[in-house]
Amino acid sequence: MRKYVPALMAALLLPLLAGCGGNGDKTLTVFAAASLQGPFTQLAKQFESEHKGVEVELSFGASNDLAAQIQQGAPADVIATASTKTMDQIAADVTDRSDFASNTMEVAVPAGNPAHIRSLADLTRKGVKLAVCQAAVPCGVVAAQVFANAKLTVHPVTQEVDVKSVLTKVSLGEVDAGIVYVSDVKTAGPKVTGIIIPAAVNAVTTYPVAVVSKTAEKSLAADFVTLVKAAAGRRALAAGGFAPPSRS
Amino acid sequence: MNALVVDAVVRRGAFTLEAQVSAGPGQRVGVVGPNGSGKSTLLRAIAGLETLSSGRITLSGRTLADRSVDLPPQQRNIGVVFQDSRLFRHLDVRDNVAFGPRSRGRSRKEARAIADEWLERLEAADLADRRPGELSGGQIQRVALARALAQQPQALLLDEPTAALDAGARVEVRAELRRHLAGLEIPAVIVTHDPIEALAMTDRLVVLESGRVAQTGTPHEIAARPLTSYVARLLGLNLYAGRVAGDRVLLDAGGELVPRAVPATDHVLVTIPPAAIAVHLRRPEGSSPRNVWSARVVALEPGRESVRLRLRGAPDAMVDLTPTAVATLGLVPGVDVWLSVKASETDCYAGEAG
Amino acid sequence: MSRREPAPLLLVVPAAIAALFLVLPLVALVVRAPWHDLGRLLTTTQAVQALRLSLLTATAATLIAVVLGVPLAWLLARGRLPGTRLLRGASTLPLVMPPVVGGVALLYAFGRMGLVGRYLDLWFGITIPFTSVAVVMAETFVAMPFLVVTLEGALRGADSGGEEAAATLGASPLRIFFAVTLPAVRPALVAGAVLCWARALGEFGATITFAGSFAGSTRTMPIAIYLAMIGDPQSGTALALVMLIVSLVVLVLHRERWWYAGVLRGGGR
Repeated sequence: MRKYVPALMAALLLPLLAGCGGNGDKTLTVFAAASLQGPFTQLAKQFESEHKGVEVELSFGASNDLAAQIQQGAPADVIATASTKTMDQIAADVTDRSDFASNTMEVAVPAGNPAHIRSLADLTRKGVKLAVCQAAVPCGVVAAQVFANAKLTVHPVTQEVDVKSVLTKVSLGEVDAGIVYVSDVKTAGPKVTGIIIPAAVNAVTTYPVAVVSKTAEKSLAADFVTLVKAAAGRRALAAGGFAPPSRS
Repeated sequence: MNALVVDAVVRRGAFTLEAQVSAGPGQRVGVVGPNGSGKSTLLRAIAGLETLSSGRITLSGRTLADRSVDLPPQQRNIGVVFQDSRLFRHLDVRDNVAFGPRSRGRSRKEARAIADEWLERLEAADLADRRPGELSGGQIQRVALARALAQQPQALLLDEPTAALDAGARVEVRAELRRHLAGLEIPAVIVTHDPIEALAMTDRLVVLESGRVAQTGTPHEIAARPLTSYVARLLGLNLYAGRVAGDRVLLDAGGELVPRAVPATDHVLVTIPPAAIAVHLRRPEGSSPRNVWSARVVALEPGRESVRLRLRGAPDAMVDLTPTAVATLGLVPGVDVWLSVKASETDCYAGEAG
Repeated sequence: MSRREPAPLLLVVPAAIAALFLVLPLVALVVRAPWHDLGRLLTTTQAVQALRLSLLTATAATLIAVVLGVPLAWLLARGRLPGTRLLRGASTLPLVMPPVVGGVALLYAFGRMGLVGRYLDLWFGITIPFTSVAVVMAETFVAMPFLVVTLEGALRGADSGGEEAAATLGASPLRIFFAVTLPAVRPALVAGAVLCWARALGEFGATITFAGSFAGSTRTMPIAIYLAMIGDPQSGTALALVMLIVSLVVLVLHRERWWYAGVLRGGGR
């Protein structure tokens, strides 16, 4: 058994070494809000095929986590968040900022709509289990706005840490409804049905994208941002349920 | 009528124990044998800690184990004193002794009262509030005995009760055991490898070797005619029966000895370790040993570290000497010598030559 | 007089590194804590609610773990049934499972649509998720294995001499268990329970997945801290400091000899 150890170690270490871009490949690191996973994965593939020798490394997460990492000096080249406020917080660390998409909220219910939700008002019904995001996270802020706009008081049974958790609770049937982004309902598949929230009371989330100032790949980063805002980008985002950035 | 009748066959792997033991009320039966002879297995089978492969155990007419019955220990009502005492460390002495009565349904108050009684009887009342961790070896075994007896068992088993004690405690506990066992009305079985316990504390002996009974009889019968080398080795002790006369003992086999202490009885047994007897070519003058007698060397048995001499005299004796001493004194069979032993090395107990 | 051998460098150096590695982050936490504002931050309703909920649920979870885990540990240590090995594997699985996975599994079993949960809802109208009961269940699920593993090891190693003696004294098997076996493994039981309590206190993933997060009923300290770190890091750090102190106090206390001495006067091993 002992004599296999060196071989085993080599086998384990080689891939790590290979990942260090030894072939002269360039790597573009993109941080993006979790909800952008679908569209951005698609765009990354397109970018790689258009730019031979470039590998796009995507890192998805909660916008504020990503922003915090940038502030701690994480080696990202591009960042796209799900909130303008989060981007404001790292204004000092980014350049060439612009809005590239927007999202509105929708009520997600389990397939079959077991609680027969038809409107926002139904969510105030006694016995209806509602899930929302916690007030401190972006999707929670927007959800609160929506209910404020509609002048409704709701009593959620849970305030999740992110919108994906809300979606999970809905798709598992543990809650009767959840407030999520339109894009989330689109990508959730057959397990979840969406109930439209009227535009009059809905809240819009604007998604900004920017180049990280400390990037070593300034032109590549700029190219990626251009792709995101071009027609191809708009198509990918629309397929994911995103709307164009609102002109306000 | 014998109270405890044991006919035990226990098969464990390659080892088979086949032994018969019986003890009447108040009778003390000793079980001796070399390591691995099955002594502990026999005891555990009687206690119910081992299952019989076949055979029968009855106590006061009740069947404890046979082909169709196998009572667990809790239903046998047999007290056991273990070599390692097994006192419950988290309970004080009183609660340890009260454990039996309490387990059998007595209230805490009643059980503690019973415990106090027994501790009083065994002269351990002052230990009642102490924890096992605070007791000396001798005290521990005293408490263990009290604990075993407090449940009013119908029989008592002792598994090498002094084996784990240091020499001083051993003498103390042995004496106490003798005393308390003598007054019992229930049968007692004592497993031991200690010659003094075997010879001086029992009414009958069962010698076990390789799982089978090699010899049974009274201690004196066995001592007089050992049938196995183990018993002979066991008897590597000079054992004399005699009668008390003042501060001396007149030996049945001839001669007299002044022991360390003389009990207040008529018939006694005297023991002297072979290494305690000194050999002189000339009669020693004055000095402290008050036991001096002449003898003739009959045989020499070289041992591992010493030579054992067998001498004929009043009384006969076995003496252990270093090879050097034997050579220096020029001891060979036929040589006449003088033997002396200090009174302090001579033990004396009440006992009959069976 | 025995000679004091100097400690081998090969052991001291890694040990020092390990100690530093574990202690430094805690020290950093203490240093960065908002000491000047601690009073206000810790007396907010959210903080008090979260701490109270955490202490209550962790204690409840530990009590359940003791009541259920002690017999389980006994079964694993002494049982001779064929499925014992499998059972042991299953009961230690939560130790290696990511807590969130544990939470999802609990949902699948006891959620509104769960294997058992759906009948609870159908027949009794009881749903467990989003209640404090769910918090206790999640914490018990992840923390009980600590107690079971610690205790099983001790029960296995415990010598049966005392139990045999108790049997000869007329004690029934149940009495033997409570009067002899358990007291003999008391140190392991206490250690296991403390470990269990500490783990339950710090549980996050399974709780938030199975019980959700709502102030007062299901938002335990770890969840509150996580949320606070998003919006109000000062508050988060303050809460983290409280958890650190509470945990330290318990972990240090349970090792204290003086606490033991009264319990095992002179008879301890």
